[in-house]
Formats: sequence, C-alpha cells, structure tokens
Amino acid sequence: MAVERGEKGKEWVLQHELALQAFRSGLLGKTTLLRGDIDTIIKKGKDSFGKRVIFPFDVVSLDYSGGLFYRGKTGDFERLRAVETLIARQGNKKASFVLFISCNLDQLDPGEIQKTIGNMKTELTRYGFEADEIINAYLKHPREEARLKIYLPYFVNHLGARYHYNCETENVIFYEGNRKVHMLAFRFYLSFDARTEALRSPRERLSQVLNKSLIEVVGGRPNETLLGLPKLSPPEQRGKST
Amino acid sequence: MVQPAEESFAYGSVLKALSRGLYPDKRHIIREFVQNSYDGLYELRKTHPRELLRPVEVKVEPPSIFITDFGIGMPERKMREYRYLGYSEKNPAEHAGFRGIGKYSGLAVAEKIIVDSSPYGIPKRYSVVIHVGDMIDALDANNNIPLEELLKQFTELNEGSESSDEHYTFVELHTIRKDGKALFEKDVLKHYLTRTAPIPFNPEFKFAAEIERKLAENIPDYLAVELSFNGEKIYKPHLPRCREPEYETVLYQDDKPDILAFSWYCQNEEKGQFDPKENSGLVYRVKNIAVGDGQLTRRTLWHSTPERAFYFFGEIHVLDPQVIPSSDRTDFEDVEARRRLYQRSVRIASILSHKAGEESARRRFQEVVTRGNEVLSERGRELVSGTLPLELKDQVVFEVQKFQEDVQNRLEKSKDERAKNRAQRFLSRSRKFLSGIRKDGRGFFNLQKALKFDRKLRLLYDTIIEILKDEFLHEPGRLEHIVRRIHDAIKAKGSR
Repeated sequence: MAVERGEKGKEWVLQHELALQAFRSGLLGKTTLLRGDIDTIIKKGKDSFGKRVIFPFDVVSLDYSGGLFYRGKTGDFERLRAVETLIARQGNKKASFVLFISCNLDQLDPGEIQKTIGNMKTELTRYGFEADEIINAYLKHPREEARLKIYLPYFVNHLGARYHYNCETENVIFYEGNRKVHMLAFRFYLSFDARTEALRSPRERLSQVLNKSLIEVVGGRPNETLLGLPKLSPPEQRGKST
Repeated sequence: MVQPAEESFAYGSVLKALSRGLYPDKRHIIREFVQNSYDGLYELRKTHPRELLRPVEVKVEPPSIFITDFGIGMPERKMREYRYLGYSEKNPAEHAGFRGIGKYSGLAVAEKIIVDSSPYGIPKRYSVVIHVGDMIDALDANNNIPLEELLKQFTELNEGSESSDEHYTFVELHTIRKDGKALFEKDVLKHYLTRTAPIPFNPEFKFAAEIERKLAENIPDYLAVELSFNGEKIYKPHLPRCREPEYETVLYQDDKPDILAFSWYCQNEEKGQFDPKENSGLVYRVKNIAVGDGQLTRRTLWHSTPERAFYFFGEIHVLDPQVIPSSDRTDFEDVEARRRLYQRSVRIASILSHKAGEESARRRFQEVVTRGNEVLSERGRELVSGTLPLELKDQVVFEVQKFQEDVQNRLEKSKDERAKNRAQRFLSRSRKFLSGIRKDGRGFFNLQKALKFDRKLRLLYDTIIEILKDEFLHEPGRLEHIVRRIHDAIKAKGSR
C-alpha cells in the first residue's frame, strides 16, 4: 500500500504521479494507492475515499515530510498517536513487521522530549545505573539528533511492549537532505510474542539504546558516531559493593 | 452574406450527448481504452518487432480506474491531438479504435481523464489532462459554450523528461462519478473484458496453442495481447468439455481465394447445448476484439434451428476492412459490407447445424440401442425367473419389434462403424429373443394354469384381459402395471 496526500487543492497530481511511478516500476498490479494523510488513514483505518486499510503489513515505512511532534487540531501529537495506532492494529493481527520512520527536526517539542528523557533517567536509576552524567549529556547536547536518537526508540519500545512486541532498534541514521534539511531515519524490527497475556517490559534494554551509535551519512558515506556522547556503564563495572 | 466574426458551429453540449449516448453500457468505455492500448502495442510490434510486448494493465482502484500499456507511446503531436474531438489518423484496416471519440468516452464516468505517454525512443513524457468535472459544471451553467472554447479551456498538455528506454501510455479515469460506480464491480468488469478484449486463450484450454497458431496463419497481423486485471492475468473464456476445433473460411466469392472471414469452433462433447450457455455460440471479432456476443451470430446467421448455435463455441474473425464495428461494438455498421458478411457466413451456420444434427442422430442411435439391450436383458431376466405374465407376451413382442425397427432405420443412415456393429449385435440378439418366446411362450408365467382355472373362469379372465388390452392400447405401461397388480393380488389371496 502506498499513501499520498498530495498538495491541497491538487491532491490528484501527486497521487497520479505515485501511481505512474508504480506502473513504471512494474508494480501497479501489486500496489494499492491510499489517498489522504497517512496519520488519519492509520487512525481511521481508511483513506479519504473510504478505501479500507487491510492489516497486517510486513513492512511499514512512515516517510514524514516534517517533524515527529506535529500537533493536530486536538492538540495531540498526531504522528506519535498514529505510530501507536499502527502498532496496536498490527498487534491485533499478531503480525511481526519492520517499521521505518523518517522525519526532520521540525516542530520539536522540548517539553515532551525532556519529560521522556527524565523518565529514562528514573528507569535507569531504578535498575542501579548512575544515570545523571549520561542523561545530562543528552539533554544538553547541541544536536537534536542526539535526543531523538533515544526518544523515538524508547517510545516505540514501550508501545511495542504494550502490544506484545519485542523491539530491536537498528542504528539511527542522520543526514542532510534536500535544501540542507536535517533528516533522521529510524529502523525497528517488531516481533510479535504473545507467550504471556501479561505484558512485560521491553526486551531491548534502555542501556542498549543509549550505547548504540548513530550513523551519519556525509557525501554518501556512512560513519558511525556517538556524537561525543558517553556510553552507559553497567552497574557492576563501577565496583559497587553488593 | 455577412458572417459574424468568430462564429462557432459546434457547441459544448454535443460532448455530453456524445459521451452519454455512445456508451450506455459503461463497460464499453473501459474497452475503448483497452482498444487504444491494443493499437499502441500493435504499432510497437509493427515498427519494432523485436521488442517484448508487455501486458496491458487494467486496475480498478477506487476512486479511479487505470488502463496502462507499454506500447509505442504517443509523441507530442499525438498528445496535442488527443485533446481534439473526432480527430484520428488511425487506419480502420489496422487499428481497433479509429474514430477519435473513444478517448472522450471517459467523459461519461470520470471527473478527470489524465493521460501520460512516453513515445518510443524519445526521452520525453507528455501529459494531457481533461478536466471533465469542470467542463460539465461550465456546461451546466451555460449549454452553449462553443466546443472549441470548452476543449481549450478545460484540457491541458504538459511536458516532462523521461528515460529514452521508456515507452508507455498511462491513463487514469480519475474519480469515477456516481453513475459510473458499476465499473467498480470488479468481477463484472473482469468478466466483460474476458469476453471482449483481444487477449490470448487460457493456457489450460487444451486447444489454445493450436487455435492461436491457426489464427496467426490465417489472419494477417493477428495479435493477442496479454491483459492483467488488478494484478491477475485474464484470458478468453473456454468450455473445457469440447471436441477438437474445426475451421472454416468464408470467401468473398466462391470462385476467388480472398478471405472475408476466418472461423474456428469446438463442438460440445456432451449432448446438446453447452451448459452454462453464456460462453457458448460464435462471436464475431475484428482485430481480435469482440463485436457483440453469441446472440449476434445466432440472430444473423441461424435462420433455422437457432438453438444449435449453442452446441458450439468459437469465433468468426472478420477480415473485410469495409465491415466496421458500430461505436459501441454491439454490432456492425449497417452497410453493404455487413450484409455481405452475414450472407456469406450463413454457410458456417449451415455446416454447424448439420454437424449438430448428425451428432444428435448419432447419440439417439446409441441411446436406442442401449435402451433396446436393456429391455432385452430385463425381459430375459423376468422370463428366467418366471415373473413375466403371459398376458403381456404380445406387448413384449411389439416392444422389441419397435426397437428393432428403430435401430434398423438408424443403422441404414449411420456412418459410425462401431455404432453399426453394436446395432447389428442388438438386432441379432433381439431376433433370438423373439424366436425363443414366440415358439411356445416359454418362460412366461401362466396364471390360469398355475391356479388351474376351469373353462368358465378362463373365459371370464380372458375377456377381462381383452378389455383391458383394448382400453390401454396406447398405454402399455399402465396395462403392464394393472396385470401385475392382478397377479400379485390373486397370488396374495391364494396364499391365505
């Protein structure tokens, strides 16, 4: 399924273009075109012409032309709610899938990010980590990519756990796109695991997310980097007495 | 005579009338675009015979319908002309669509007609948009907008770049209107296209390859294009329980070799008409696209025994370029060439009717012999078991004689050696049977003797039986039933 919103008033132009590209690639017969806003489509389960979305999917790519923290008319973070709805709908079908999310750094919500990173600190502390230094490093880092690097995986992991998914996060990719726009690309593999009805904590540890490097793509070349951020040491390595 | 400046002679409302009146059946609109795709592929094959012909695709994707092909594509000039009404340089002898109005058929159903085309070998993509909805709104406000103005204002042509390796035409009937919603019934549209589009036979049809070969040999430029409907390849329908195909050529004149039409047909393997009937009958095709259905050939060629038209299925491919399908392809234009086609093709109906008659006779012959043998066996068993009443002797003799006579008549007309041998065996067996029972009535059950009737009782009984025989002269079954009941009743009373 491919989704195209199009430009307001001329939606058909880009929607037609998408169908044409599918045709040129020999994929027209296999492609279902959904017309409208992706977040609304995920939420309602149908497009602006009433065509139903048939779950589940093996791969979902949410290629947002904007930031993650876009607020809708209700004041909610529409895109994040859409990601949650997507995971819930997939979970209803008990289907494992790969999730790609790409976005830029527009419409960031510092309050939301800070609160969530604060929650991470609480969690780390609860598990015996000395979290102050690392959390402060993320909060004060000059690049927003650093904070999003942990925000979204944390968000997806917790959502996934709520709907019986184990989540594996790949290294976050960041690069400069068209018109020097800062872009991020996230990749998750959510595998469905309903061995228990009771929900459990995310299998992927927060420490793993924190310690995973990013991949910066410059001139077409990928470079692993932690952007100068510290790694989290396990509690036993700091010589804590038991 | 003074003429006003910029006088117009054609007005926009003609578009409405054309698009609505031409295609009361909306499915024909899709066929029009498929025809255009066919023409694009035909041209590609003609000019670049080594190029692979990829399937035409029809995709029903509400709110739109797409009809696409990787044919020769259209250069700028043709795309410019695409916006013209009634303009066409297509040759009716070569192309399936040639009137230049088919493309506007989309007016009847869509809000926009969007066409992208990239011509072979040219690194360009041209795009035409016909803003139908806006056109209609304008016409609703003012019926008398000059046609020229309407077409100029509500159509656009754009150009972009494309790889020179690409060649295609991509049509979107965008946002199908309410009165065209029937086109979203995918099964119905798919069914229609399988019966009309110029597509190949199903590979599962055991005679597909042979028929395709014969058509290619006998029809110049014969072309079947693959068509994918919502991702699934579709094929011409066939009826699996059929005999080997046969072929007939229709000539313009008996003494000249020029072929007016070429036909193939398969007869039903079973008795009578094909069941279901809907894919049976012969269908006319021009450029491998159906004209009408099996009912059209039945109406135009079968002047007697029309039911026999459906003992067969097949096609009549019309090669005469003067025979032109009507706009909606439900018939041919009413011209002299049509009359000649129908007149010369009546021969096919005669041949098929004769074959059907022969087949019926052959089956009936088989049935009669089989039934005759069954009767002999049944009566033989009854004689052996002593359960065949003597009162029925005349009737049994008459019954067997009737079978003999029927079989003898059919034997004389039959050309089937196996059937004749079987009939001969039956006749021999029946003669032995009759000779056996005529001698002394051996085997029949004589109730009077069994119950030792005296002379008066025999007289009474014989009289009653005579009256019953007379009464049920034409109902031998009832007579037999009554006699058996009498026997059973008397035996039952006697045993108490």
